[in-house]
Amino acid sequence: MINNSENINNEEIGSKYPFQSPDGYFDALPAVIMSRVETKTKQPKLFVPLRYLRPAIGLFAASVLLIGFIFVTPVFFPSEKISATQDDDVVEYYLTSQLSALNIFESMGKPSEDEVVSGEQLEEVLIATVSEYELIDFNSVK
Amino acid sequence: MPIDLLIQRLKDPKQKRLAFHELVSTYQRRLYWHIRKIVIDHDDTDDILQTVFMKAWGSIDGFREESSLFTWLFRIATNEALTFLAQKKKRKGFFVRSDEEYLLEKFSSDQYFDGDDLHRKLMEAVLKLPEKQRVVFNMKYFDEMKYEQISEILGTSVGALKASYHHAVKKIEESIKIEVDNEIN
Repeated sequence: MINNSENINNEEIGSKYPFQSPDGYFDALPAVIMSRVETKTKQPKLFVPLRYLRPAIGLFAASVLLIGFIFVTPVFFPSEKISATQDDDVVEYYLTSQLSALNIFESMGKPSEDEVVSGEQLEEVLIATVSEYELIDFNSVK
Repeated sequence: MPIDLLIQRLKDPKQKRLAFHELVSTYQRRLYWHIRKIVIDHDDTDDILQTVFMKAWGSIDGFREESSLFTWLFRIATNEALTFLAQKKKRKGFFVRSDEEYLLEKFSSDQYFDGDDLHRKLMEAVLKLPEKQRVVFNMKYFDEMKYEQISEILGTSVGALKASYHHAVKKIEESIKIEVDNEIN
């Protein structure tokens, strides 16, 4: 253990330093510190009995469950339900629900640029894949 | 009151308040001037000093006497003062001012400065030093502490402290010489 018996000469402290402290500052400081100490000691501890906390805990748990249910279950979001289904399911859902066709197409999203085929491109594909004799002359069909 | 007895009373719940009042009275001046040399401004010093004593009150029960009470209090005070300066720097946000600019501004507007022109030059030179050199210079030159004591408070080796003090003195000499030469010319 280090010896704690150091001597402090208050007269010499700060004597080389070219500053002053306000008059009476050191006379008043111990009282200021002790009043802060008293205030800190007297502060009541934050203690809430468990019986008062139970309803709050129940309410919190119920809120968490409700929020979880809303975000996890797709029933509450018809457009997401449509996006998750395919082809015939979409038509079936449309027929049984109150949604308009516009809502359904909006929920399906826009096709990407690769998916959009122009008339000229389609014609090129048809010419390349279908031979002449396979083409049907619609004028001759009665 | 001997310090050993003071510590004993500080750890006794029945005597703690009275002993703490004694502790404040005993160490307030030394801690005040130590902090004041780091942050310059009196109001800032007052805030920090009160925080130091409140922290001491809160943790005196855990004081294990591995260092002296004086060293323990000085370590808290040094940390609080340096943390204060670091926070001041952060709070400037986009326009970051250096410690030097901040402290020189505080010094130039300090109503409690009572030194002559040479003191002013010395203080300006001290405030231009890097933080660690400034703290070491203050403790060695103004407080006349031993290197061993400073080493315990700052947690730095005696060799490193001697080097810091040596560099600080050189820089201060150069700084004052430049100031004096400028005045002559």
